[in-house]
Amino acid sequence: MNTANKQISMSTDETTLKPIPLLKVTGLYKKFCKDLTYNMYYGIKDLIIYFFGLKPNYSSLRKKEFWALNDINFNIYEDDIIILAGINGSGKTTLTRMLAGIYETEKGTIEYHKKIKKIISVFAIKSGFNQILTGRENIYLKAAYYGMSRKEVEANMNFIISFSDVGSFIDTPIGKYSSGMKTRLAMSLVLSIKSDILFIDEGFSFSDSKFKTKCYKFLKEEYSKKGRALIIATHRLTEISDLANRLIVLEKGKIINTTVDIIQGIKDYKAN
Amino acid sequence: MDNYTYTIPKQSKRFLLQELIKLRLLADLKRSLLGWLWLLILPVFAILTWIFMKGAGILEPGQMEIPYTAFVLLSTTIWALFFETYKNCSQIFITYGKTLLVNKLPINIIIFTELIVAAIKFFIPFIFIIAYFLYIGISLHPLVFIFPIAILPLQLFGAAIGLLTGLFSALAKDFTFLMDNFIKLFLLLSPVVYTPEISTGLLAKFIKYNPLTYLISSPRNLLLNGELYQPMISLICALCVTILFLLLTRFFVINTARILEREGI
Repeated sequence: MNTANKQISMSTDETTLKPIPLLKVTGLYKKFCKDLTYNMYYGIKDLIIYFFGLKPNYSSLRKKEFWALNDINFNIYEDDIIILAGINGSGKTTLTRMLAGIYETEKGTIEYHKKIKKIISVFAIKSGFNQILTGRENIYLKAAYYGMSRKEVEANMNFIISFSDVGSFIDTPIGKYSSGMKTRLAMSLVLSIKSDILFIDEGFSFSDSKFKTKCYKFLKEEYSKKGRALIIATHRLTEISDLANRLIVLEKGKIINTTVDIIQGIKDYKAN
Repeated sequence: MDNYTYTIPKQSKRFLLQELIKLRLLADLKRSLLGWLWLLILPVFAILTWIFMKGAGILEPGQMEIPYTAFVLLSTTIWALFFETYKNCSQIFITYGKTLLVNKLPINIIIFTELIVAAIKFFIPFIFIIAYFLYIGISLHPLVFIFPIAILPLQLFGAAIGLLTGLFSALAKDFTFLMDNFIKLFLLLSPVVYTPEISTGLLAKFIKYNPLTYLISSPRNLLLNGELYQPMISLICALCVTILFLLLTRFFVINTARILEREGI
Protein backbone atom coordinates (compact mmCIF):
# COMPACT_ATOMS: atom_id res chain seq x y z
CA MET A 1 0.00 0.00 0.00
CA ASN A 2 1.57 3.28 -1.03
CA THR A 3 1.55 6.58 0.85
CA ALA A 4 -0.81 8.33 -1.55
CA ASN A 5 -3.50 5.68 -1.07
CA LYS A 6 -3.12 5.99 2.67
CA GLN A 7 -3.66 9.72 2.54
CA ILE A 8 -6.66 9.45 0.23
CA SER A 9 -8.39 6.78 2.24
CA MET A 10 -7.73 8.70 5.46
CA SER A 11 -9.14 11.97 4.11
CA THR A 12 -12.14 10.19 2.58
CA ASP A 13 -12.95 8.58 5.91
CA GLU A 14 -12.55 11.78 7.85
CA THR A 15 -14.92 13.69 5.56
CA THR A 16 -17.59 11.03 5.16
CA LEU A 17 -17.91 10.13 8.82
CA LYS A 18 -20.04 12.02 11.31
CA PRO A 19 -18.54 15.34 12.33
CA ILE A 20 -18.59 14.99 16.14
CA PRO A 21 -15.39 13.34 17.29
CA LEU A 22 -15.52 11.81 20.76
CA LEU A 23 -11.78 11.51 20.70
CA LYS A 24 -9.15 13.33 18.67
CA VAL A 25 -5.57 12.08 18.41
CA THR A 26 -3.04 14.50 16.95
CA GLY A 27 0.68 13.97 16.31
CA LEU A 28 1.01 11.26 18.94
CA TYR A 29 4.43 9.74 19.59
CA LYS A 30 5.74 7.19 22.09
CA LYS A 31 9.26 5.92 22.35
CA PHE A 32 10.68 2.94 24.19
CA CYS A 33 14.16 1.61 24.77
CA LYS A 34 15.06 -1.90 23.63
CA ASP A 35 18.11 -2.34 25.85
CA LEU A 36 17.61 -3.10 29.55
CA THR A 37 20.70 -1.26 30.82
CA TYR A 38 20.06 1.86 28.74
CA ASN A 39 16.41 1.70 29.79
CA MET A 40 17.43 1.81 33.47
CA TYR A 41 19.92 4.58 32.82
CA TYR A 42 17.44 6.76 30.87
CA GLY A 43 14.72 6.04 33.43
CA ILE A 44 16.83 7.21 36.36
CA LYS A 45 18.19 10.17 34.41
CA ASP A 46 14.70 11.31 33.35
CA LEU A 47 13.33 10.83 36.85
CA ILE A 48 16.04 13.07 38.27
CA ILE A 49 15.27 15.69 35.57
CA TYR A 50 11.54 15.54 36.47
CA PHE A 51 12.46 15.77 40.17
CA PHE A 52 13.90 19.22 39.53
CA GLY A 53 10.77 20.29 37.67
CA LEU A 54 12.34 20.07 34.19
CA LYS A 55 11.30 18.02 31.15
CA PRO A 56 13.68 15.79 29.17
CA ASN A 57 13.79 16.29 25.39
CA TYR A 58 11.26 13.92 23.81
CA SER A 59 11.69 14.90 20.17
CA SER A 60 14.73 12.82 19.30
CA LEU A 61 15.72 9.23 19.90
CA ARG A 62 18.61 8.38 22.19
CA LYS A 63 20.85 5.37 21.69
CA LYS A 64 18.85 2.07 21.63
CA GLU A 65 15.49 3.87 21.62
CA PHE A 66 12.80 3.41 18.96
CA TRP A 67 9.43 4.93 18.16
CA ALA A 68 6.66 2.59 19.33
CA LEU A 69 4.15 5.14 18.00
CA ASN A 70 5.14 7.56 15.29
CA ASP A 71 2.94 10.54 14.41
CA ILE A 72 -0.47 8.99 15.01
CA ASN A 73 -3.47 11.05 13.87
CA PHE A 74 -7.09 9.95 13.83
CA ASN A 75 -10.52 10.71 15.27
CA ILE A 76 -13.08 8.48 16.92
CA TYR A 77 -16.68 9.50 16.31
CA GLU A 78 -19.98 8.74 17.97
CA ASP A 79 -21.27 5.22 17.12
CA ASP A 80 -17.86 4.19 15.82
CA ILE A 81 -16.86 0.56 16.21
CA ILE A 82 -13.24 0.43 15.15
CA ILE A 83 -10.97 -2.53 14.58
CA LEU A 84 -7.35 -1.75 15.39
CA ALA A 85 -5.26 -4.23 13.42
CA GLY A 86 -1.57 -4.90 13.09
CA ILE A 87 1.00 -7.60 13.66
CA ASN A 88 2.54 -8.14 17.10
CA GLY A 89 4.71 -5.16 18.01
CA SER A 90 2.92 -2.79 15.64
CA GLY A 91 1.84 -0.54 18.51
CA LYS A 92 -1.81 -1.59 19.11
CA THR A 93 -1.49 -2.11 22.86
CA THR A 94 0.71 0.96 23.33
CA LEU A 95 -1.83 3.10 21.48
CA THR A 96 -4.75 1.62 23.42
CA ARG A 97 -2.95 2.20 26.72
CA MET A 98 -2.25 5.80 25.76
CA LEU A 99 -5.87 6.40 24.77
CA ALA A 100 -7.00 4.88 28.06
CA GLY A 101 -4.66 7.21 29.97
CA ILE A 102 -2.47 4.41 31.36
CA TYR A 103 0.64 5.64 29.54
CA GLU A 104 1.74 9.26 29.67
CA THR A 105 1.30 11.49 26.61
CA GLU A 106 4.71 13.15 26.20
CA LYS A 107 4.43 14.32 22.60
CA GLY A 108 1.17 14.92 20.74
CA THR A 109 -2.34 15.29 22.09
CA ILE A 110 -5.28 13.07 22.95
CA GLU A 111 -8.42 15.13 23.35
CA TYR A 112 -11.78 13.87 24.55
CA HIS A 113 -15.17 15.45 24.05
CA LYS A 114 -16.57 17.05 27.18
CA LYS A 115 -19.54 14.67 27.18
CA ILE A 116 -17.22 11.73 27.90
CA LYS A 117 -17.75 10.67 31.48
CA LYS A 118 -16.60 7.09 31.53
CA ILE A 119 -13.92 5.22 29.64
CA ILE A 120 -13.24 1.56 30.18
CA SER A 121 -10.20 -0.24 28.88
CA VAL A 122 -9.86 -3.99 28.89
CA PHE A 123 -6.48 -5.64 28.50
CA ALA A 124 -6.06 -9.37 29.10
CA ILE A 125 -9.67 -10.00 30.01
CA LYS A 126 -9.07 -12.39 32.94
CA SER A 127 -6.37 -10.31 34.64
CA GLY A 128 -7.15 -8.75 38.00
CA PHE A 129 -9.04 -11.74 39.35
CA ASN A 130 -7.92 -12.95 42.75
CA GLN A 131 -7.97 -16.74 42.98
CA ILE A 132 -8.95 -16.93 46.66
CA LEU A 133 -11.91 -14.59 46.34
CA THR A 134 -15.30 -15.80 45.13
CA GLY A 135 -16.78 -14.80 41.78
CA ARG A 136 -19.00 -12.24 43.49
CA GLU A 137 -16.11 -10.77 45.52
CA ASN A 138 -14.04 -10.56 42.35
CA ILE A 139 -16.82 -8.70 40.57
CA TYR A 140 -16.72 -6.07 43.33
CA LEU A 141 -12.94 -5.85 43.09
CA LYS A 142 -12.75 -5.56 39.30
CA ALA A 143 -15.69 -3.18 39.21
CA ALA A 144 -13.80 -0.95 41.64
CA TYR A 145 -10.83 -1.05 39.24
CA TYR A 146 -13.17 0.09 36.46
CA GLY A 147 -14.26 3.10 38.54
CA MET A 148 -17.71 1.84 39.48
CA SER A 149 -19.42 2.52 42.79
CA ARG A 150 -20.86 -0.19 45.06
CA LYS A 151 -24.39 0.89 44.09
CA GLU A 152 -23.65 0.49 40.38
CA VAL A 153 -22.20 -2.99 40.92
CA GLU A 154 -25.19 -4.08 42.97
CA ALA A 155 -27.55 -2.75 40.30
CA ASN A 156 -25.64 -4.71 37.63
CA MET A 157 -25.09 -7.92 39.60
CA ASN A 158 -28.10 -9.84 38.24
CA PHE A 159 -27.17 -8.97 34.66
CA ILE A 160 -23.56 -10.10 35.24
CA ILE A 161 -24.58 -13.43 36.79
CA SER A 162 -27.17 -14.14 34.13
CA PHE A 163 -25.06 -12.99 31.12
CA SER A 164 -22.03 -14.96 32.29
CA ASP A 165 -24.15 -18.01 33.03
CA VAL A 166 -22.02 -18.96 36.06
CA GLY A 167 -25.15 -19.60 38.14
CA SER A 168 -24.55 -20.95 41.64
CA PHE A 169 -20.75 -20.81 41.12
CA ILE A 170 -20.90 -17.07 41.74
CA ASP A 171 -20.09 -17.66 45.43
CA THR A 172 -17.31 -20.19 44.75
CA PRO A 173 -13.63 -19.10 44.86
CA ILE A 174 -12.62 -18.16 41.34
CA GLY A 175 -9.61 -20.47 41.54
CA LYS A 176 -12.12 -23.31 41.11
CA TYR A 177 -13.55 -21.82 37.88
CA SER A 178 -12.69 -23.12 34.43
CA SER A 179 -10.87 -20.72 32.14
CA GLY A 180 -14.06 -20.20 30.12
CA MET A 181 -16.10 -19.34 33.22
CA LYS A 182 -13.53 -16.72 34.27
CA THR A 183 -13.64 -15.18 30.80
CA ARG A 184 -17.44 -15.12 30.75
CA LEU A 185 -17.58 -13.48 34.16
CA ALA A 186 -14.96 -10.87 33.27
CA MET A 187 -16.59 -10.03 29.93
CA SER A 188 -20.07 -9.83 31.49
CA LEU A 189 -18.79 -7.31 34.00
CA VAL A 190 -17.29 -5.19 31.21
CA LEU A 191 -20.49 -5.35 29.18
CA SER A 192 -22.58 -4.34 32.19
CA ILE A 193 -20.80 -0.97 32.40
CA LYS A 194 -22.29 1.92 30.48
CA SER A 195 -19.06 3.46 29.21
CA ASP A 196 -18.86 6.23 26.63
CA ILE A 197 -15.77 4.70 25.05
CA LEU A 198 -14.74 1.08 25.48
CA PHE A 199 -11.27 -0.16 24.50
CA ILE A 200 -10.80 -3.91 24.24
CA ASP A 201 -7.30 -5.22 23.59
CA GLU A 202 -7.38 -8.88 22.55
CA GLY A 203 -10.43 -9.48 24.70
CA PHE A 204 -11.91 -12.12 22.41
CA SER A 205 -9.03 -14.56 22.24
CA PHE A 206 -11.13 -17.30 23.84
CA SER A 207 -12.71 -20.25 22.10
CA ASP A 208 -16.35 -20.24 23.31
CA SER A 209 -17.92 -19.22 20.00
CA LYS A 210 -21.49 -19.21 21.38
CA PHE A 211 -20.59 -16.74 24.12
CA LYS A 212 -18.53 -14.70 21.69
CA THR A 213 -21.50 -14.31 19.33
CA LYS A 214 -23.64 -13.23 22.28
CA CYS A 215 -21.01 -10.59 23.19
CA TYR A 216 -20.69 -9.27 19.62
CA LYS A 217 -24.49 -8.91 19.36
CA PHE A 218 -24.62 -7.07 22.68
CA LEU A 219 -21.72 -4.77 21.74
CA LYS A 220 -23.29 -3.93 18.37
CA GLU A 221 -26.55 -2.92 20.08
CA GLU A 222 -24.83 -0.87 22.76
CA TYR A 223 -22.13 0.88 20.77
CA SER A 224 -23.38 1.35 17.21
CA LYS A 225 -26.34 3.65 17.83
CA LYS A 226 -26.22 5.18 21.30
CA GLY A 227 -23.58 7.87 20.79
CA ARG A 228 -20.76 5.77 22.21
CA ALA A 229 -17.67 4.23 20.65
CA LEU A 230 -15.89 0.89 20.76
CA ILE A 231 -12.29 0.20 19.77
CA ILE A 232 -11.15 -3.40 19.49
CA ALA A 233 -7.46 -4.23 19.03
CA THR A 234 -7.34 -7.75 17.64
CA HIS A 235 -5.85 -10.30 15.28
CA ARG A 236 -9.26 -11.93 14.74
CA LEU A 237 -10.31 -9.57 11.99
CA THR A 238 -12.75 -11.71 10.02
CA GLU A 239 -14.60 -12.71 13.17
CA ILE A 240 -15.56 -9.12 14.00
CA SER A 241 -15.77 -7.65 10.53
CA ASP A 242 -19.60 -7.51 10.73
CA LEU A 243 -19.42 -5.62 14.01
CA ALA A 244 -17.14 -2.76 12.96
CA ASN A 245 -17.64 0.29 10.74
CA ARG A 246 -13.96 1.22 10.43
CA LEU A 247 -10.56 -0.42 10.28
CA ILE A 248 -7.28 1.15 11.31
CA VAL A 249 -4.10 -0.72 10.49
CA LEU A 250 -0.86 -0.09 12.34
CA GLU A 251 2.62 -1.08 11.26
CA LYS A 252 5.82 -0.28 13.16
CA GLY A 253 4.02 2.40 15.15
CA LYS A 254 2.48 4.16 12.14
CA ILE A 255 -1.04 4.13 10.74
CA ILE A 256 -0.71 2.60 7.28
CA ASN A 257 -4.40 2.37 6.44
CA THR A 258 -7.72 3.60 7.75
CA THR A 259 -10.87 2.66 5.87
CA VAL A 260 -14.63 2.16 6.17
CA ASP A 261 -14.48 -0.69 3.67
CA ILE A 262 -13.74 -3.35 6.26
CA ILE A 263 -13.77 -6.35 3.91
CA GLN A 264 -11.37 -4.74 1.44
CA GLY A 265 -9.26 -3.40 4.30
CA ILE A 266 -8.88 -6.88 5.79
CA LYS A 267 -8.02 -8.30 2.34
CA ASP A 268 -5.33 -5.62 1.86
CA TYR A 269 -3.98 -6.23 5.36
CA LYS A 270 -3.72 -9.98 4.82
CA ALA A 271 -2.18 -9.50 1.38
CA ASN A 272 0.59 -7.35 2.85
CA MET B 1 -12.49 19.49 23.32
CA ASP B 2 -10.50 19.35 26.46
CA ASN B 3 -7.51 17.28 27.33
CA TYR B 4 -8.87 14.22 28.98
CA THR B 5 -8.47 14.06 32.71
CA TYR B 6 -9.79 10.96 34.33
CA THR B 7 -11.85 11.88 37.35
CA ILE B 8 -13.45 9.13 39.33
CA PRO B 9 -16.50 10.11 41.40
CA LYS B 10 -15.96 10.26 45.18
CA GLN B 11 -18.18 7.27 45.94
CA SER B 12 -16.22 5.19 43.41
CA LYS B 13 -12.92 6.22 45.05
CA ARG B 14 -14.27 5.23 48.46
CA PHE B 15 -15.41 1.89 47.03
CA LEU B 16 -12.00 1.30 45.43
CA LEU B 17 -10.27 2.11 48.73
CA GLN B 18 -12.48 -0.36 50.63
CA GLU B 19 -11.92 -3.11 48.07
CA LEU B 20 -8.14 -2.60 47.99
CA ILE B 21 -7.86 -2.64 51.79
CA LYS B 22 -9.96 -5.80 51.94
CA LEU B 23 -7.80 -7.41 49.26
CA ARG B 24 -4.49 -6.43 50.90
CA LEU B 25 -5.53 -7.73 54.30
CA LEU B 26 -7.18 -10.88 52.95
CA ALA B 27 -4.38 -11.73 50.52
CA ASP B 28 -1.83 -11.83 53.35
CA LEU B 29 -3.90 -13.71 55.85
CA LYS B 30 -6.54 -15.83 54.09
CA ARG B 31 -4.08 -18.58 53.15
CA SER B 32 -2.68 -18.77 56.68
CA LEU B 33 -3.99 -21.17 59.32
CA LEU B 34 -3.28 -18.79 62.19
CA GLY B 35 -4.35 -15.75 60.13
CA TRP B 36 -4.63 -12.58 62.20
CA LEU B 37 -2.90 -14.26 65.17
CA TRP B 38 0.41 -13.65 63.37
CA LEU B 39 0.00 -9.95 64.12
CA LEU B 40 0.36 -10.86 67.80
CA ILE B 41 2.92 -13.64 67.44
CA LEU B 42 5.46 -11.74 65.32
CA PRO B 43 6.19 -8.97 67.89
CA VAL B 44 6.91 -11.65 70.51
CA PHE B 45 9.55 -13.20 68.22
CA ALA B 46 11.01 -9.75 67.57
CA ILE B 47 11.52 -8.90 71.23
CA LEU B 48 13.06 -12.26 72.15
CA THR B 49 16.30 -11.30 70.36
CA TRP B 50 16.65 -8.05 72.28
CA ILE B 51 15.78 -9.61 75.65
CA PHE B 52 18.39 -12.29 75.00
CA MET B 53 21.03 -9.67 74.09
CA LYS B 54 20.29 -7.65 77.19
CA GLY B 55 20.36 -10.79 79.38
CA ALA B 56 23.74 -11.74 77.90
CA GLY B 57 25.07 -8.27 78.69
CA ILE B 58 25.70 -7.38 75.02
CA LEU B 59 23.17 -4.57 75.11
CA GLU B 60 22.98 -1.81 77.73
CA PRO B 61 19.72 0.00 77.04
CA GLY B 62 20.09 2.65 79.79
CA GLN B 63 17.82 3.67 82.67
CA MET B 64 14.11 3.34 81.99
CA GLU B 65 10.89 3.78 83.92
CA ILE B 66 9.33 0.52 82.76
CA PRO B 67 10.63 -3.09 82.51
CA TYR B 68 12.91 -3.63 79.49
CA THR B 69 10.55 -6.29 78.05
CA ALA B 70 7.70 -3.76 78.01
CA PHE B 71 9.98 -1.03 76.61
CA VAL B 72 11.29 -3.14 73.76
CA LEU B 73 7.83 -4.53 73.00
CA LEU B 74 6.43 -1.02 72.61
CA SER B 75 9.45 0.31 70.71
CA THR B 76 9.71 -2.52 68.20
CA THR B 77 5.98 -2.25 67.52
CA ILE B 78 6.41 1.49 66.82
CA TRP B 79 9.40 0.68 64.58
CA ALA B 80 7.30 -1.96 62.80
CA LEU B 81 4.82 0.74 61.77
CA PHE B 82 7.65 2.75 60.18
CA PHE B 83 9.15 -0.32 58.49
CA GLU B 84 5.80 -1.77 57.31
CA THR B 85 4.80 1.58 55.79
CA TYR B 86 8.21 1.93 54.11
CA LYS B 87 7.97 -1.61 52.74
CA ASN B 88 4.36 -1.24 51.53
CA CYS B 89 5.10 2.03 49.73
CA SER B 90 8.40 0.88 48.24
CA GLN B 91 6.66 -2.20 46.78
CA ILE B 92 3.70 -0.46 45.17
CA PHE B 93 4.94 -1.33 41.67
CA ILE B 94 5.45 -4.95 42.71
CA THR B 95 2.05 -5.23 44.39
CA TYR B 96 0.02 -3.24 41.88
CA GLY B 97 2.22 -3.09 38.75
CA LYS B 98 0.20 -5.53 36.65
CA THR B 99 -3.08 -4.01 37.80
CA LEU B 100 -1.88 -0.50 36.98
CA LEU B 101 -0.86 -1.59 33.49
CA VAL B 102 -4.40 -2.63 32.65
CA ASN B 103 -6.45 -0.18 34.70
CA LYS B 104 -6.25 3.57 35.12
CA LEU B 105 -6.33 3.72 38.93
CA PRO B 106 -5.91 6.84 41.07
CA ILE B 107 -2.43 6.41 42.58
CA ASN B 108 -3.19 8.51 45.64
CA ILE B 109 -5.87 5.96 46.59
CA ILE B 110 -3.26 3.20 46.35
CA ILE B 111 -0.83 5.13 48.56
CA PHE B 112 -3.63 5.80 51.03
CA THR B 113 -4.52 2.08 51.01
CA GLU B 114 -0.95 1.17 51.90
CA LEU B 115 -0.91 3.68 54.78
CA ILE B 116 -4.18 2.33 56.16
CA VAL B 117 -3.11 -1.31 55.83
CA ALA B 118 0.14 -0.57 57.71
CA ALA B 119 -1.82 1.34 60.38
CA ILE B 120 -4.29 -1.55 60.85
CA LYS B 121 -1.41 -4.00 61.19
CA PHE B 122 0.13 -1.69 63.79
CA PHE B 123 -2.93 -0.93 65.87
CA ILE B 124 -4.05 -4.55 66.37
CA PRO B 125 -0.90 -5.61 68.30
CA PHE B 126 -0.70 -2.13 69.84
CA ILE B 127 -4.09 -2.54 71.54
CA PHE B 128 -2.87 -5.83 73.00
CA ILE B 129 0.33 -4.14 74.21
CA ILE B 130 -1.73 -1.50 76.00
CA ALA B 131 -3.79 -4.26 77.61
CA TYR B 132 -0.56 -6.04 78.62
CA PHE B 133 0.88 -2.82 80.12
CA LEU B 134 -2.24 -2.28 82.20
CA TYR B 135 -2.16 -5.94 83.26
CA ILE B 136 1.44 -5.74 84.58
CA GLY B 137 0.72 -2.43 86.30
CA ILE B 138 2.32 0.11 83.94
CA SER B 139 0.20 3.23 84.07
CA LEU B 140 -0.34 5.11 80.83
CA HIS B 141 -0.64 8.86 80.56
CA PRO B 142 -4.14 10.20 79.73
CA LEU B 143 -2.66 11.68 76.53
CA VAL B 144 -2.60 8.13 75.14
CA PHE B 145 -5.64 9.20 73.11
CA ILE B 146 -3.58 11.57 70.98
CA PHE B 147 -0.98 8.86 70.39
CA PRO B 148 -2.29 8.15 66.83
CA ILE B 149 -1.61 11.80 65.91
CA ALA B 150 1.81 11.75 67.55
CA ILE B 151 2.86 8.64 65.63
CA LEU B 152 1.55 9.84 62.26
CA PRO B 153 4.75 11.77 61.29
CA LEU B 154 6.77 8.56 61.75
CA GLN B 155 4.43 6.75 59.39
CA LEU B 156 4.57 9.59 56.86
CA PHE B 157 8.37 9.48 57.00
CA GLY B 158 8.29 5.73 56.27
CA ALA B 159 5.90 6.38 53.38
CA ALA B 160 8.04 9.19 51.95
CA ILE B 161 11.22 7.07 51.93
CA GLY B 162 9.21 4.12 50.59
CA LEU B 163 7.72 6.10 47.70
CA LEU B 164 11.08 7.47 46.61
CA THR B 165 12.67 4.02 46.88
CA GLY B 166 9.73 2.48 45.02
CA LEU B 167 10.09 4.81 42.05
CA PHE B 168 13.80 4.24 41.61
CA SER B 169 13.71 0.52 42.39
CA ALA B 170 11.07 -0.02 39.70
CA LEU B 171 13.82 1.09 37.32
CA ALA B 172 16.79 -0.62 38.98
CA LYS B 173 16.57 -3.16 41.80
CA ASP B 174 19.80 -1.80 43.36
CA PHE B 175 17.78 0.87 45.14
CA THR B 176 15.69 -1.74 46.99
CA PHE B 177 18.77 -3.64 48.16
CA LEU B 178 20.45 -0.42 49.21
CA MET B 179 17.52 1.11 51.07
CA ASP B 180 16.34 -2.11 52.74
CA ASN B 181 19.79 -2.55 54.29
CA PHE B 182 20.06 1.12 55.11
CA ILE B 183 16.75 0.95 57.00
CA LYS B 184 17.90 -2.15 58.89
CA LEU B 185 21.06 -0.26 59.87
CA PHE B 186 18.91 2.63 61.08
CA LEU B 187 17.13 0.28 63.48
CA LEU B 188 20.43 0.12 65.37
CA LEU B 189 21.27 3.80 64.89
CA SER B 190 17.90 4.92 66.26
CA PRO B 191 16.80 4.70 69.90
CA VAL B 192 14.47 1.74 69.40
CA VAL B 193 15.92 -0.91 71.69
CA TYR B 194 17.73 1.59 73.91
CA THR B 195 16.91 5.06 75.22
CA PRO B 196 18.31 8.14 73.42
CA GLU B 197 20.09 9.26 76.64
CA ILE B 198 22.60 6.39 76.78
CA SER B 199 24.48 7.14 73.59
CA THR B 200 28.02 8.49 73.59
CA GLY B 201 30.64 9.41 71.00
CA LEU B 202 29.79 8.91 67.32
CA LEU B 203 26.47 7.18 68.11
CA ALA B 204 25.39 10.25 70.10
CA LYS B 205 25.98 12.41 67.01
CA PHE B 206 24.04 10.00 64.82
CA ILE B 207 21.16 9.99 67.25
CA LYS B 208 21.16 13.76 67.58
CA TYR B 209 20.85 14.35 63.82
CA ASN B 210 18.68 11.32 63.07
CA PRO B 211 15.02 12.40 62.61
CA LEU B 212 13.89 8.94 63.66
CA THR B 213 15.14 9.69 67.18
CA TYR B 214 12.46 12.35 67.59
CA LEU B 215 9.77 10.60 65.55
CA ILE B 216 10.08 7.42 67.64
CA SER B 217 10.90 8.84 71.08
CA SER B 218 8.15 11.46 71.10
CA PRO B 219 5.12 9.16 70.70
CA ARG B 220 6.74 6.64 73.07
CA ASN B 221 7.34 9.29 75.74
CA LEU B 222 3.86 10.69 75.21
CA LEU B 223 2.40 7.30 75.96
CA LEU B 224 4.50 6.72 79.07
CA ASN B 225 4.76 10.17 80.67
CA GLY B 226 2.68 12.54 78.54
CA GLU B 227 5.65 14.56 77.20
CA LEU B 228 7.24 14.86 73.77
CA TYR B 229 10.96 14.13 73.49
CA GLN B 230 12.64 17.52 72.89
CA PRO B 231 9.30 19.11 71.86
CA MET B 232 10.59 21.88 69.57
CA ILE B 233 12.85 19.60 67.51
CA SER B 234 10.15 16.93 67.42
CA LEU B 235 7.60 19.40 66.07
CA ILE B 236 10.02 20.71 63.44
CA CYS B 237 10.77 17.11 62.41
CA ALA B 238 7.05 16.34 62.18
CA LEU B 239 6.45 19.38 59.99
CA CYS B 240 9.40 18.60 57.72
CA VAL B 241 8.44 14.95 57.16
CA THR B 242 4.83 15.94 56.45
CA ILE B 243 6.00 18.37 53.75
CA LEU B 244 8.42 15.75 52.41
CA PHE B 245 5.63 13.19 52.27
CA LEU B 246 3.31 15.56 50.37
CA LEU B 247 6.03 16.48 47.87
CA LEU B 248 7.08 12.89 47.26
CA THR B 249 3.48 11.72 46.94
CA ARG B 250 2.94 14.34 44.23
CA PHE B 251 6.18 13.29 42.52
CA PHE B 252 5.16 9.63 42.72
CA VAL B 253 1.67 10.27 41.31
CA ILE B 254 3.04 12.31 38.40
CA ASN B 255 5.69 9.76 37.48
CA THR B 256 3.82 6.47 37.94
CA ALA B 257 2.72 6.24 34.28
CA ARG B 258 6.27 6.99 33.10
CA ILE B 259 7.68 4.20 35.25
CA LEU B 260 4.99 1.74 34.17
CA GLU B 261 5.58 2.31 30.47
CA ARG B 262 9.35 2.11 30.86
CA GLU B 263 9.19 -1.13 32.75
CA GLY B 264 6.05 -2.70 31.28
CA ILE B 265 5.92 -4.29 34.75
